[in-house]
Amino acid sequence: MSIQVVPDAGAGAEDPAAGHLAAVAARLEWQPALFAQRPDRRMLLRLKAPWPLGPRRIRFHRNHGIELALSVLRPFLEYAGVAPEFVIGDYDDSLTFGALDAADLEVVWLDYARFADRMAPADLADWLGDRLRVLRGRSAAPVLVLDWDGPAAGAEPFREAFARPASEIGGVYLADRRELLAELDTDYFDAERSAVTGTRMSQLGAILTARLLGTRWLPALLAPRLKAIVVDLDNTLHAGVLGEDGAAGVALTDGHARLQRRLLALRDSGLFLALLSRNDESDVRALFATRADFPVGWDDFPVHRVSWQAKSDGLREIARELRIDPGAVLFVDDNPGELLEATHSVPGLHCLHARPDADETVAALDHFPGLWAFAETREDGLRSADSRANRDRDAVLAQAGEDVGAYYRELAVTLTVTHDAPGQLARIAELSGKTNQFNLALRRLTGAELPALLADPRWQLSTAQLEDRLSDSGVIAIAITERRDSALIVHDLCISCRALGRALEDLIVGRLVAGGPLFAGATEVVFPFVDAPRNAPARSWLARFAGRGLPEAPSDIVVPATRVAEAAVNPHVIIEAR
Amino acid sequence: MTGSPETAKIRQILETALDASLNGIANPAREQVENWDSLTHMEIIFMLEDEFGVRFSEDEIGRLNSEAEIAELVREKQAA
Repeated sequence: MSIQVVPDAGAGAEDPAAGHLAAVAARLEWQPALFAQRPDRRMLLRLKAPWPLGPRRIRFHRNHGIELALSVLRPFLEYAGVAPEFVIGDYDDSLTFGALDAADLEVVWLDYARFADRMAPADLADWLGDRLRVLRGRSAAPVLVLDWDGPAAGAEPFREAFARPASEIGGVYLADRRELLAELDTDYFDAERSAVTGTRMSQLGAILTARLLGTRWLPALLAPRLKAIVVDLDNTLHAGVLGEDGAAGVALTDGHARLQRRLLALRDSGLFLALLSRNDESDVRALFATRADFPVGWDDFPVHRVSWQAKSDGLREIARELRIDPGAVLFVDDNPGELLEATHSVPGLHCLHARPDADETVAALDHFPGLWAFAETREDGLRSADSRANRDRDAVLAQAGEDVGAYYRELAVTLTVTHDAPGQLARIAELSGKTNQFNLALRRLTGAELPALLADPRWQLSTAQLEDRLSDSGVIAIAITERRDSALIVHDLCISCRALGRALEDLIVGRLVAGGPLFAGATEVVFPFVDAPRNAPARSWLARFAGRGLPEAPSDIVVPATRVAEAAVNPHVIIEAR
Repeated sequence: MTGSPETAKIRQILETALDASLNGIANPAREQVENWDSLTHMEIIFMLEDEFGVRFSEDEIGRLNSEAEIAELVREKQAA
């Protein structure tokens, strides 16, 4: 790859635009080192991020030498925008933990073979669950546990036994190494070296585990997941240029077929796909219509921008149509110039250089921070179809004109509300963690904090599911409220961007807050609000709902309970409670 | 091996692992470089093995304490 931007350590200080471009160019240059099939330790150690990083304190509890993995974990985390501070405890088979100060994340990384002659895998999982309960008592941070690396026969009994304590404790995540262990087999280990390295892990095992930590597991716990992948067409989804080679002439290499299938898998995991291409739309439609060998079709993209406009304009339009922030978008293009132009014009946009060998792009997608998620919720599978339905909804809404009630009736809009349902905790944590635009207090509650709130009768955890005849949107809103005397405090209130634009915000908030068991007798509802660059929709709604302007500083906005109760009524929407 | 491409590669590996320039030091040795600790030593060993396609024994790992010693052992292993 040749990029005519020379990274200069001092460039950003004098010229922010040049500094930004140099940083983006550097990110593209990092790709071969990070996403190689077998990353090279020397190349990794030489990488030092010239872009801004956010500090994160990550504490490791271990019983073996992990330092040689952590040294190469740093560049992967820097690529994810994290400046890691590693806190590494002494070797401790007994996981005593001791007194712990604050950390953003706890990681338990054990060599399970050290317990092999003392405990069966299921007993070890039970014991580990007990130790994690102790850890939970001392730290509210998410806990990542690297899973079984002992004899293969023990893997399933361990995982099966560990599932129960992990779900009971809350905020505990198992890092699945099965695929990596199967791929490397005995190469994952290098017992001969353990006397000098302090671990059975091989050099290759350490690097590849570090990559999974730095690109999948830790980013998934430290930042909201990305929401969309926008892909270029020519020399990205296929080899060749449609306008020159024609629909029959562009090549679907084996690598490009794998890339297309991987994109579909990412869509099925809950990410939006969008197509952005400089071509004539009729040519691109004809391409997808005639190339039956292409795994992806035109309709697999809920949004397309095929025109001769600047790609940055197309990206902004796609984000607007998907109702997401451009900062939650990954743009994949084979042209570094397009990537630089787009990231310069669209702040926060993530980018990935599509390589001539499409398998390299597949490897990059497999490890791009923010694409991978721990557990796919029911909503992940609904998202794409729901977003496609938004276009039809907009048409019905336009036809209804001033009579919004007709729109609700026509679509048979149904809102189903739950309060204090244990089965909703994962979705509550997901919406609290990832919602940016309609998020009033930006509490970012984690799965670790929710079980205690669920058990506390002063707190109410509410969800709203939205469905109409076009699609099931799934659970699209949450509220976490606390009763204090005659006031109800709405500590967390989030509505998914997919549910915005349907003029349902008042009803959703009304049902979440006033429809719950803690509302009776309340005289006022308090909405804590924190202003942020991306939550303008929440600000606008609250200002209108409260009938007053909002200060810029974090503030508690008090609304009469009667106002919230009135909002909970809409005769044109079907309300169900569970 | 002095002045050979291999020596230059060894010097690059040492500078990467130590995160420091070794300009002006004729034969960097473990005892004279402050941050050449046991972790850094293993980083150096791994990078040497990757670069030259060799594998050092536990005993050899303990004896590779300077650039010259590394160059000598790499030469021996490559010749074997």
